[in-house]
Amino acid sequence: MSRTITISPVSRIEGHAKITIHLDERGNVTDARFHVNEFRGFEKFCEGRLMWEMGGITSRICGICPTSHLITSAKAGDDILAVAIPETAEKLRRLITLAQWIQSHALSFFHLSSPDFLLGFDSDPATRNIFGLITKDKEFARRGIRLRKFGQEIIEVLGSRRIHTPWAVAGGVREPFDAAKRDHLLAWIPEAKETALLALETLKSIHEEFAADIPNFGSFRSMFMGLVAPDGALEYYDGTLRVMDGSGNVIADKIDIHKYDEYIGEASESWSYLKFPYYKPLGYEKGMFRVGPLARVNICDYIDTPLAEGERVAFKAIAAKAGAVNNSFYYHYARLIELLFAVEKAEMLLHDPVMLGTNIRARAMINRRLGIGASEAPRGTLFHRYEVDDNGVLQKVNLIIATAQNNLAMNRTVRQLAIQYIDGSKITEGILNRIEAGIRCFDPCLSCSTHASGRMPLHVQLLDCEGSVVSELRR
Amino acid sequence: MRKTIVIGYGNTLRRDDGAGVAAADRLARDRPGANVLTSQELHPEMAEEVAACDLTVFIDASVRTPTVRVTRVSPGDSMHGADGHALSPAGVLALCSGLYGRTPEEAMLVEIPAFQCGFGETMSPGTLRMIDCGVQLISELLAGKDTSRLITTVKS
Repeated sequence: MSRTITISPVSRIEGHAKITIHLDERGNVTDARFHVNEFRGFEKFCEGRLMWEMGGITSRICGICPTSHLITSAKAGDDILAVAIPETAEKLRRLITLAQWIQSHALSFFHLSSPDFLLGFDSDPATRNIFGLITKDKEFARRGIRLRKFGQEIIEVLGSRRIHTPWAVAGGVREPFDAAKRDHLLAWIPEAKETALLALETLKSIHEEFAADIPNFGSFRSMFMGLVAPDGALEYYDGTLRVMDGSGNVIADKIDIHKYDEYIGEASESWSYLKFPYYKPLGYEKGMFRVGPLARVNICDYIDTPLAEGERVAFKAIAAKAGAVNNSFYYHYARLIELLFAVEKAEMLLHDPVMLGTNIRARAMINRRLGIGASEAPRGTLFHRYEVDDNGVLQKVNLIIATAQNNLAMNRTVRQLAIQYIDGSKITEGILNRIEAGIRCFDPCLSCSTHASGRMPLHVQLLDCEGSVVSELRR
Repeated sequence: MRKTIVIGYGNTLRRDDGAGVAAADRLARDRPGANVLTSQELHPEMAEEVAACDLTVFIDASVRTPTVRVTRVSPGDSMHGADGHALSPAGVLALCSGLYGRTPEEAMLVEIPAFQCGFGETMSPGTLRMIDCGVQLISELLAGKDTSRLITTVKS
């Protein structure tokens, strides 16, 4: 009799999900699925609202990366107004985007993933969390929390509050920057840089310890997609789309974001509220691609900050023969490279006198009926597409979220881990945690990707071939 | 003089759920110079500032009480919410203790009754009245008056 294992809820991720693992009569894994069981429907209820409200509304999709929605929404608004925003406004928006990366990447590593690395996958789940981390290494935990605070501090200084700031608007930003705020933020830089480097060294030091586990963490060839700057540098705010295959070949480049729907299709499955975006030219499933840190660091030609560039070169050396780093475990490494980059780049921007300009907003009427915005959210490329009438009232909304773009790859990762670790007879907590950790590599934000609400606990079920629940674990 | 922080939190787009934020905003207006923070939710990053204070007052909305309720809070041992979601006052204090080796001498949670938590920014008349009571009570607390008669339970 075949069976199915269910992990529900998945823990230490943003949102609600469960995993089911399907076994055949002999207890071999035949399939594994990552189900996202929350729904919100922002795309629908935004219809009829004014385009101007979208920054405020869509930033409420998420408490972790609201700034990414705010910025992307403002960019879609710029497109509808048909304006080029002032240079100062663009640089300020760039700074807050970096701040979003800093706070989100710090949260992912220090709060969510490092307990696995520093305490072990098989350690007591009751203490495998931030409190366990405090017990193990108080200074490490303290530094992680302060690094996240630095990201939030930038957001608060620019936008007056840490989450859901309405600061960016179509045409620019609401409030200018000043020298006192700049100096306040610059004072944080040395500590932030030191902590980012500490995180990198800590992670690299455990790669050897986890050598037996790493090959099972979503190691497969896929395409990678993200924005790059015109000269091929790592990009986070603007640029054009680049697609790379799992061998490191660029298969599509300099794609105008307005043409994203020629390249990205969205499929649905009956067992999940999370859509399954795919690379259209290759069709559903075969067109699986990954976005986010692993993709961005793979596809860019270089990083324009010195310390992060040094790390990128070391990162690429991991898979010199393959041409691209295909193992999802290295999302963590790429994420910390980006964290370091974000701190370095923020410092560069803070020293730029243009940041103190007072021309921060271009004003215009509705000049286009369609607006598309894209930026690199912490978890990958985020698209907002708005169709409006002559008064700016939304007729149609499409949001393509980074986590959804990783959906096929997350499912593949869960399947790989299940096949590797489950023998059909029993699931141990350590095995459960490894499967969850496979998902955490992607740092999914399910509130965003389903536009849904709530926490993300994990639920794992073991089902037989007739669909009956044989074993179940909830957290 | 005791170093004090007031933290009002809640969702201001869910009507009465924003009562904690509204009360904290009122206190900030009424008491210039007071150390008042408002936020949608509690964050681990608040622990550093809270740990440096002698008195912390958390203000939240609650559907579980018909009147303003004051509870003394002590550090919890739960990590619930420490991943960035729905951190409780007890969780903040636990982080203070774990990370900085100290907690405020006194920490209170003031819960303001919430009656209508649908979408919107306007509060129900009942909650507006309760915010007045809560602000009055917290003002007494901050002024150092004996408020022990008001404390109903101990929460950790």
